[in-house]
Amino acid sequence: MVLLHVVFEHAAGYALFAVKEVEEIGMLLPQVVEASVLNVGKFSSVVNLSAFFPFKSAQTALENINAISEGVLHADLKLFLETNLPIGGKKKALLGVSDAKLGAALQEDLDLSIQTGGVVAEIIRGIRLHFHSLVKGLTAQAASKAQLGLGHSYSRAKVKFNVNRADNMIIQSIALLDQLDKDINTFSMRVREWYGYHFPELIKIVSDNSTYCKLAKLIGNRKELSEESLEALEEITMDSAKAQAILDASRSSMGMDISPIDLINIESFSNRVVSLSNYRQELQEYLRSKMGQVAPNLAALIGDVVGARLISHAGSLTNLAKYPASTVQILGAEKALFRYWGSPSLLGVRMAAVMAGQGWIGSG
Amino acid sequence: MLVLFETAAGYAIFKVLDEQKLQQVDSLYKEFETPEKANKVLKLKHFEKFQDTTEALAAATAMVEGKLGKSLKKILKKVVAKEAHEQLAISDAKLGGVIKDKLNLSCVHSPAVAELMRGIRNQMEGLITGLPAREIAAMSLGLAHSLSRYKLKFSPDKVDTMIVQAISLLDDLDKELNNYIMRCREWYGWHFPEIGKIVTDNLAYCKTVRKIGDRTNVATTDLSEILPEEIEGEVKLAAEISMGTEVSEEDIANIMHLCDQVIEISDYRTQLYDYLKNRMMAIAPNLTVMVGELVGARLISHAGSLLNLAKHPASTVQILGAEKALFRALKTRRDTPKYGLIYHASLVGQTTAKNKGKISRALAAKTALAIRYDALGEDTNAEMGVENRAKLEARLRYLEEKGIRRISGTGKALARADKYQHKSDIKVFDPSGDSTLPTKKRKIEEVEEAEEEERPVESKAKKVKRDPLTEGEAETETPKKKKEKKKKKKSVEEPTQEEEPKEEEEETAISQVGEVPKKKKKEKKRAAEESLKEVVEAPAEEARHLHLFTNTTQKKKKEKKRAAEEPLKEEAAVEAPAEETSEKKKKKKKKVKEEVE
Repeated sequence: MVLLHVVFEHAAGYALFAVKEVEEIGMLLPQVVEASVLNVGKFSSVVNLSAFFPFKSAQTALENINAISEGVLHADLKLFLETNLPIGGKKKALLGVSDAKLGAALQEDLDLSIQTGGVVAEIIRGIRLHFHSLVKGLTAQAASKAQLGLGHSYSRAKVKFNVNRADNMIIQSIALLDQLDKDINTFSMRVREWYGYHFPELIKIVSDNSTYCKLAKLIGNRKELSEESLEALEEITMDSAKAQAILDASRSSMGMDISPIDLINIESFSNRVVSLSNYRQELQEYLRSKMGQVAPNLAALIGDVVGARLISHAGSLTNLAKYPASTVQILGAEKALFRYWGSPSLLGVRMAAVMAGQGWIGSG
Repeated sequence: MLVLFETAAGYAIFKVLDEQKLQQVDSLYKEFETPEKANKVLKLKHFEKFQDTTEALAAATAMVEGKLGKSLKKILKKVVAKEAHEQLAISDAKLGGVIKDKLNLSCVHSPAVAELMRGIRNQMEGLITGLPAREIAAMSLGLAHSLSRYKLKFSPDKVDTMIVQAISLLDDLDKELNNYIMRCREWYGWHFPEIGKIVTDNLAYCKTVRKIGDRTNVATTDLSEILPEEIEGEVKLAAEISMGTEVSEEDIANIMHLCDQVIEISDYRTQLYDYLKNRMMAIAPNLTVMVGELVGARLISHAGSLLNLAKHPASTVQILGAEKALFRALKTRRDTPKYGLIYHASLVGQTTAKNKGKISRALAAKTALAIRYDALGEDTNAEMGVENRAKLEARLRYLEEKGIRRISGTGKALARADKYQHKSDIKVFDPSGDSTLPTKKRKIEEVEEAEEEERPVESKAKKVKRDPLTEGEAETETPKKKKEKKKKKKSVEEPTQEEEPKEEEEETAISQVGEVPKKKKKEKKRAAEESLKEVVEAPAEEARHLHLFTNTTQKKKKEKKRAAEEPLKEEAAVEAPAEETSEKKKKKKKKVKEEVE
């Protein structure tokens, strides 16, 4: 004779168990139940799964668990219980719930007689222990994954994690920006050298890296330069005198001839460099907007790049906030600072003060 | 009188204003001390500027060869049209002759003209107006370079600087690509960590991220072209229960741009690799065939240029890249490394660890030849490389085979077998045990046997001397022996004087790379010797008969020696069979044996 139903909330979904009446359990004494809990076989003969309702997605799981934690009855839970429990009738079904607050809400809403604590607690413990053997079709792996995912999203919700205020993107961006600079420089040097075999005078005329790469791409074989390309040259260099100088230099250049396949290679490579420098521009824009969202005052005061460097150096914005102003002043010049730190003479302190000017703040 | 003056920037035609001055050759230079004075003597009639360096080069080469260039012809025609009666002073007599022939202009060349030219050159800026010095300088520089290149027959295709550059860029790109990819993985991992473990290939990861964007789109995106089916399924599954955070639009856009860059850079890397392969095949085809493009490019880059690499001996090519280990070993008197960059060649990679050293040495030797052919040879085909590679592969197979035969017994047993064979030179095969019937002939044989046994004792002493020498050869002897089983001892008629060269030949032959050429040599020599047809000694014959199963060359040498020592022994007067083939000999031996029994 089924007396007691127990509702159990799991990360994967809701489960409803039916407790069969057995001699000892008929007594419904906690101690007795406790003994039988440890034995799976015995336990499963007493308690078996009556219904299981899995959560549709991580989203719904989060909503449900939020509701449970606040002691509010969620629509899903209500639906689940209504469909699976015999409601109304002469005999009121007895429902065991682990949370008293939830139980009260259930009693109010669904008009069920609720029991919490005591034997219910023991039974729920048993269910938790043997969950995956009681609920067929839910592997331990899936269960643990669900738990993990739900745990993370729940914590994030509790911590009021704001995606837009994440400062780790800033730290990453500034590191990537530095790396991009280094790479672009290296690659531009290489393009200069390669194209310099063919047209060395161009290096002296055009000193900017990205302009040089664009020009190399445009000119190709310098022998084919003519008056028509003057316009295009001017467009890139923004300087008509330079364009003219390039044209003249191409006529009297001492560079060697270049085979077409080499030219193709140089062209592709210049494309790469140009696109990398475009990406660098974009990244700088992105950094600016991120800084504006995360630390607008800092950005307004000392600029995006320096602000980002400070945050990255400290590890996070909150860490940076914990530093006293004197530390902030010399962030970035630690090496120089600590060289003079230990020295007892006055010189050390003065040198330290001088070095402070060389921190990032000083350079900004 | 007109003067034709060539500059790097173009042709200049002057008119001599004062012809009297020309008569005083010695004092002519005074006239050109200042620009004003010079202008009094000459006037610039026409200056034809070269359009660009190619034109200048064409003109210069024509001049050097004594021919009439196109631009020169043009300008002279113009002059002729105006003043055909004038004489033309030029600096090159040969050119003058040509001009006279073609254009019917009378030309003058004399010491006066030479002085005139010097003067003009002195005051060039003043005389040729409208041409800034800078331009002249630029043009002369350009022309000088082009002319030298032309003279050297410089071909842009045979330039190996691009290879050195390309290989170093390839390494750089790999490093950078790795960096960017790791960053991309980390960034996207905040949003969708599971995909990092599921999709291991970097390029596929970036393409997938590019396509998916936010992980909510996974279910709707089709990833079949990027990922195989089961992985795609796993990705879709993982997206449902992912524990990653949400990301804003901006962040996703940024990540996707980074993925774009990564994809483009890896495309370029494949392109660069193709380019490198192409260039290597064009510049050093034989080297490419021998060791592969990548290893070849690295070798060239390590040496600095193809020509530099060609100057290295083969032993250096073998250990290029292992200098640190080499000098460390040399300093501490240990074993030097066996391979450097060449270790990564496919031929060395295929062999077992034991044979890597041998193959590396052989490969280095042939590779050095290939490099020199590429760097200094006239034509650029890969025939030589292909041939050599075939030879090396044959050698490789041979080495492996030898290894297999050794393994078939137990290692130790085989090794002892060598020694056993070695000893059996001294031991005598006793056929008396074959038959139980006692015969007279046997007795004689036994007597002879006893004598034979003495001889081995004597020559054992000599054998001992030879042991250290031949022990090294024992290894290579065994395969030789096996091969020579087929061709049994050829005639033992070789006279003593041929012993020495043969020994030398054998010793050098052992240190050679290929067995095949050595055997061929031996056969040739033997054939030559056989044709000499000398009388065989009876003991030698007997010795041959008795030593049925011991066919090492050492034995042959010993026999030769014995033959030399006892030239007058005449026992069983068996004539030396003038046999050409070893099979016949074998049959003969068998016959003899049967006779004995």
